Amino acid sequence: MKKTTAKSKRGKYLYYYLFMLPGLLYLLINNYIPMIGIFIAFKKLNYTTGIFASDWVGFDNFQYLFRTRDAFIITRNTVLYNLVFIFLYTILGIIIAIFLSEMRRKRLARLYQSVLLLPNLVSMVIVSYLAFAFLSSENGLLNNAILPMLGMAEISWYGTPGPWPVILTIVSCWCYTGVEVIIYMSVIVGIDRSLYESAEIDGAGKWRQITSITLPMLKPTIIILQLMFIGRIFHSDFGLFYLIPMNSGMLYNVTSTLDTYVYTSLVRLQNIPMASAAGLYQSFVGFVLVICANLAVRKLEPDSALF
Amino acid sequence: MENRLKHGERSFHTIVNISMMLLALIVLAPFLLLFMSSVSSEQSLIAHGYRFWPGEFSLDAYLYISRNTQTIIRSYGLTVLTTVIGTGLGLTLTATLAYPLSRRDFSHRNVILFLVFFTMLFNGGLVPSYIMWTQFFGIRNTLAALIFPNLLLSAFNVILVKNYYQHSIPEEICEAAEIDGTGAWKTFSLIILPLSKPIFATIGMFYMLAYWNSWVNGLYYISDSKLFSLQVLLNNILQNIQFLVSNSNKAGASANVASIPGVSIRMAIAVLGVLPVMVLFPFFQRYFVKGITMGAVKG
Amino acid sequence: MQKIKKLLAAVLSLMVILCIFSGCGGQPEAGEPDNAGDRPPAASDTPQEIEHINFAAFSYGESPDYPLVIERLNEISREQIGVEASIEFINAATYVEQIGMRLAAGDKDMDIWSPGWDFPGIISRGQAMALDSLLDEYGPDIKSALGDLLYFAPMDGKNYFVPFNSSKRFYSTFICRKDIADAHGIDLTQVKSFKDLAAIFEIIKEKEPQMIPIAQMNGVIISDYNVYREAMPAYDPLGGIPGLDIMGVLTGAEGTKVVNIYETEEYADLLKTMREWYLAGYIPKDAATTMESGSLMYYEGHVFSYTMPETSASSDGPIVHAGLSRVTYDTYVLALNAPVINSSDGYYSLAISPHSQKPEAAMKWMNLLYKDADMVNTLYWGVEGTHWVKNENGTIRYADGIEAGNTGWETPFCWSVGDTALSYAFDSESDDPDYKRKLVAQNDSAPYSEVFGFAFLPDNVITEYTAVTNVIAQYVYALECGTVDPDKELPNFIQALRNAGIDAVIAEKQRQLDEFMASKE
Repeated sequence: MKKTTAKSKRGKYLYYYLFMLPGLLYLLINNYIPMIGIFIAFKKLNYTTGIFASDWVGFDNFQYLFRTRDAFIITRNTVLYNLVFIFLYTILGIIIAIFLSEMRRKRLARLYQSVLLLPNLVSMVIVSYLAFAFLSSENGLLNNAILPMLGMAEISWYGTPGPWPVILTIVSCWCYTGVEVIIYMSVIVGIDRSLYESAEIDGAGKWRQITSITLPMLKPTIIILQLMFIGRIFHSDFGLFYLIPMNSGMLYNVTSTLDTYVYTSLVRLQNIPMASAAGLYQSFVGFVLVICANLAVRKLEPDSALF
Repeated sequence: MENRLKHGERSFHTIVNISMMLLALIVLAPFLLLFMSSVSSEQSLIAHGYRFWPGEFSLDAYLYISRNTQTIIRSYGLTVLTTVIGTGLGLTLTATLAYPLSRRDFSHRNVILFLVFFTMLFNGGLVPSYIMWTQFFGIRNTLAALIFPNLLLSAFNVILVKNYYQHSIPEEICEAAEIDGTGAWKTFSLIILPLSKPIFATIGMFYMLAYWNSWVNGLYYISDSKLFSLQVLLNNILQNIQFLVSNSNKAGASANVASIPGVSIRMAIAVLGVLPVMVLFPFFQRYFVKGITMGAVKG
Repeated sequence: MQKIKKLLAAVLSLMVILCIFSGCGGQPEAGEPDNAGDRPPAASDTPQEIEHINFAAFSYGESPDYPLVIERLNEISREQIGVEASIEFINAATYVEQIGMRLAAGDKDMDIWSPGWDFPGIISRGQAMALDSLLDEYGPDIKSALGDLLYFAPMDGKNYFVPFNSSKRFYSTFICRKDIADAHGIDLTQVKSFKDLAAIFEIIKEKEPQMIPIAQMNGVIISDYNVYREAMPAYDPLGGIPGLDIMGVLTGAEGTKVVNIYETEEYADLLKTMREWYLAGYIPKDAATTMESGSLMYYEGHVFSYTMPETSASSDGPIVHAGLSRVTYDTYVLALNAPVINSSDGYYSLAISPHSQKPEAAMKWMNLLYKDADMVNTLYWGVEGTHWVKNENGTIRYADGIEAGNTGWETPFCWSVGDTALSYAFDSESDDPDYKRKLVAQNDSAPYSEVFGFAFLPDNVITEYTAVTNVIAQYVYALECGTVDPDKELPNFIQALRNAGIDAVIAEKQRQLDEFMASKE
């Protein structure tokens, strides 16, 4: 008896590995083997001798990330924006997903869903042109039409840092909420309808149904999304922070993030090791945070932990 | 009691409908502005600024672009082709990789899940990845360059799918099937797949969006203009304007500056990048949403 | 735990296997045989084998007539030197990235590439091959055509680049609409200093209210700091580019002492003037932040003027440029300073990849671009008879049915590669068939900066350099477009530069410059 289970286990495992083979092979080729290249961050690259024969320079390539006064600003911006974004994505995503799933006219719900995803089909370059159409001092819609209508004075948008945290948050939500909605929608439509029906019979109103059925069912997804997000808390959407403010220097204090800083510093130098160093730093912090967060989740909600 | 409930429900639906309508308007407004500035004359854009209703209509921008119809059609074709292939392959890899990871009777799952997740955190950077794909697979200036590097399998999607298998498909169903002697493959194809349509629809959409919008691979791997996908083409046109303009002090370049597109033309290019999708997307999406609702009925 | 170890072992062994294979994986397909096979046999009867090289050039449009043109080019080069080339066009927007990747990957399939800036960096990273012995043996015409210009960025006595040969005598120029200037009786000969331009803008502001008096170019209004002729008699940016990384310049007033331009009185004065212009409404409000460029807005017709470095100007007063194909109005070009050939590194060049397998053939081919007029004109304008035809006076014009911007051969070669002295002039440019040669000949009479050939390598102070670049990007556009009040922001700017470590950069620059001067003597 024991033998057969061992045998069937081996057979099952073989099957499982066969299932995973194509995916794992791809990850090996696309992700794991190139990961050897992380050592570039510790080298001074010489193209003639090749990356393997280049000189080691220790942590020199990391210095510029910490030694300047900007280091604090860019780290603060990256983290704070990310926290605000994930909070809003989650709240808006859940609310809109619930609203859409409650709509009686399914055709209309479908239409709205498409509309919400549309911004995803536009590249950030074009979004930056759109933002410019609103914000341009000379020709922008806000300064030309809307502010005068409200009796307010013109604002030089690309020269005034104050409103930018709000502007970037709006643009970011405009672009990405649709995706969150889709994720939450897919979970909500998977919820057994009979749960709601019995709740209704018990006299539960909409609000009660949402808080006691929908949200608990969404919880594992919410936790997973936050966990994955924490791993990327030191990363930022380069296009959003670089293109939307048109790389305006006057806004750097509120728009510089790690990614834009690395880009503006290295654009002329083509310094691949320094860029790699920045990437490694971002990943390392994310890694540590995610491991900690996952440990915590494991303690509290073992089922929802990532691994 | 009954009445009060009905009343509450009605007002809830009113709130839902109104707020969704407002939201849709907010999302759509910039697109309208984009379109209107593409059909404005250059002069009125400068004189009156960007408006939802242009001072003076003009189709000059589209006439300018129509000189390159062939290029645009070709890049559309390429984008559609890579999107279809990439989404198909990506879905397959994701669905199969996620399945064993969702099984409690698979004791390696945590290790492998960690390896999958790890790829979200660390990467070797562009150079090693470029060397890998060009020197071992020779994909520079091939269609494969638009499909394979970085986009084909996203750890994020794998985890979403694994999570769905785990939480939304009762394990008893699979166990019952296996006790009946159904093989692992059959369990997967006959039970798991049909039950997972909503999540496939969702991540299918994600892969689709990722491929539709991707231009980074084009940036590094493609120099042959016959292989420019739509986003690469758009991006190059817009970037080239910057490049040409900042180099216009060199003799001879000024002639080309004179033929550079103005603002309305760039807006028109952007419209061409978005409009067909705007028209076609709801039809595609219906297919996806059908998947979602079918899954709901069965689940 | 053991499982992890096993997995790691498996992954590692796979990596090793793949690394071993890398040795053969990177081999190029030798000589692209199918390309050569399509061509008719070489016309010449030279017995040696035809060598094939690859030139990765940047471009910004499609050139559907490539097969025609390359066929003609190869006809010439086969006959003369037994070399054939294929030109791979890489979109300008992605050129730097793609070339960087290919060089890093050790791509042996690329022989020549075309750098435009950051020459010391390219040398220090080993992205180009030292050319001295190749030049001696295969590049005599390059050496005689370029003379001293060839050594614009040497390193440790070695030369790595072959620069584009054109007039390098850059003026800082003021460019404006002739029709409008004439209509309002504006007399450019009265402009003695750039500050006198304000009077002109006042007229424009009043008479042409819908027009922008002066637009930004590359993010700044006055494109060069050497408009201060008296205070900076021999200004040299020491390789810096305005708005990007000018840190430490020579003013000429203090010999070879490297000076922080941002702390000079002249700079404060420039900012004050720009602020006045901005407040008077001469400068567009978005100037500091828009990605639009003055020259483009100028061609669209709603800008009166802009400034930029230009070679075809004159110290004797304004000259007129004829209208271009789609732009009917003529243009005044007014020099704002005396020209000098400085150590700026805005020189388009050709370089040979360190991984090239045929550097000799590549050098022979490059040499032909400085020797053979047919080669140069085919490369620039396309095939004679098909794309362009000769006029009786020796100038050329587009062939019937061909117009600028739609020729089938859209390349940047005429302003980045080869010897323009060998190229024909278009009849729209000049009636003088020798026009191009004379432009280039001006280099001989132009004053060279004392430090010509100096190139700064920031490697030793890279942390400070990086931080300073960011500070410059943060302040300079807003200040130089007058958007912010210099009384308030200039001190902040100077302080931020100090905090970022500009003094260390300047000290390093001074050290390198002193070494350079010592080696010159």
